[in-house]
Amino acid sequence: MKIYFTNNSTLQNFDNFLSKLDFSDESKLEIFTDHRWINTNPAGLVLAAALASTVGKQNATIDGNLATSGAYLDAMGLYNFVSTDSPFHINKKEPSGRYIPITNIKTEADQTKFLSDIIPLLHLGREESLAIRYALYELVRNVLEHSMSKDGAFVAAQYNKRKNKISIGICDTGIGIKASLNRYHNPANDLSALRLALMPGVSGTTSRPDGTEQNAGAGLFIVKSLARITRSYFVIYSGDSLYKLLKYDKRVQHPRINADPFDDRYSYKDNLPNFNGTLVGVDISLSEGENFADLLETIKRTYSIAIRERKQRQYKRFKFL
Amino acid sequence: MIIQMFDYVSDFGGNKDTAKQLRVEKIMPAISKGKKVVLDFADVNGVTQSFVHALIAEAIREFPEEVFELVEFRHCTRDVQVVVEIVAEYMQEGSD
Repeated sequence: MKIYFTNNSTLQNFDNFLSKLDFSDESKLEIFTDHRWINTNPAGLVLAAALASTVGKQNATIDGNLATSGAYLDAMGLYNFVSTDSPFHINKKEPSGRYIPITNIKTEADQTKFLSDIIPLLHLGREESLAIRYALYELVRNVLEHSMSKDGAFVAAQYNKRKNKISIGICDTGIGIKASLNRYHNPANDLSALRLALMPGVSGTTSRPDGTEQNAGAGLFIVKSLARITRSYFVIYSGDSLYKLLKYDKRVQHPRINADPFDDRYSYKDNLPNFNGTLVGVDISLSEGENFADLLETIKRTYSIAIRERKQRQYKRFKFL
Repeated sequence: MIIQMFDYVSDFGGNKDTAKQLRVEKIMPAISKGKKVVLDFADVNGVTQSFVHALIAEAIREFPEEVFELVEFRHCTRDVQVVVEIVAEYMQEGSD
């Protein structure tokens, strides 16, 4: 397998990054980078770490000729998953700071400990701390419950203070979204599966719109909605398909939250290299003075409407001749 | 019965296993006997929707009338209250 970190592998250009993936040889992983400049995000890094774990550390390498900006790969802990020694060890940063290095989480107890240990190290404000904990809890739990991956979840995050932006990546090498939804929803293909997974009230554990006693099928919808109302990107990649939520028009003050992700402003690819697992990348940018509760209020106002919309789409209709 | 949520979740409720434990061992047995349950969220800053769903969704489904009389929420931050309201609304919206 091959991964190539370009000089712009941000969520905005994520389809370009994904289209360069090569899964042809599953016995090893080679990570290449742009030799002049590396600009990636946690989503790309967790994908690399998850794939490295499938081949084993001894069979994963990073091409030696790195740009100085490659120090980011070291700071985020990618070298812990490959056999290549880091050329940046002399300038190693402290683990506390504005990022959460790539971490492998296999149980809910791991997750709780990880979040209680790591989040304080980020020195975030109350609102940012709530946002990142909310998203990480929901995304990691999704992996642990639905992916059936023996390797669990690979997560990483960073905080851009200047933009007040939280970026999160989470990846697993489990059964993928389509297989996860097959039992109750039977999606036609990977892209249909992504669409369903992002709808409120769709869970792999039931066909009921209000879920089971333990699952509501709302986690991904709410995390995507947080990205939408904070004018940020959200991507989800599984199988051969990518769904990418695009930023809404700046002139729209109160963006509508839609039940159907295809009613959002989005782009997609359904011919990418086939990935056996699921990758999610999300940015959440809080405006100055904005409370996390405000974001939740916005979602609350539209959630029930979204559920009703989804139910109405399933109603049987008479023929009027 | 008063359940001090901080004792179970610290300052953030996200662990669904903990929610399930509270639901199965305390909340559902109490409601099924018609007893009042107070969920006290003092010092809890936030919760996820999944956590609250695992905590109370079954009670809303099984006891759609009684649950709103028998379960009380105390000392909720706005963040916690909004999430509880989201779950309460969609459970009633989704019910047949």
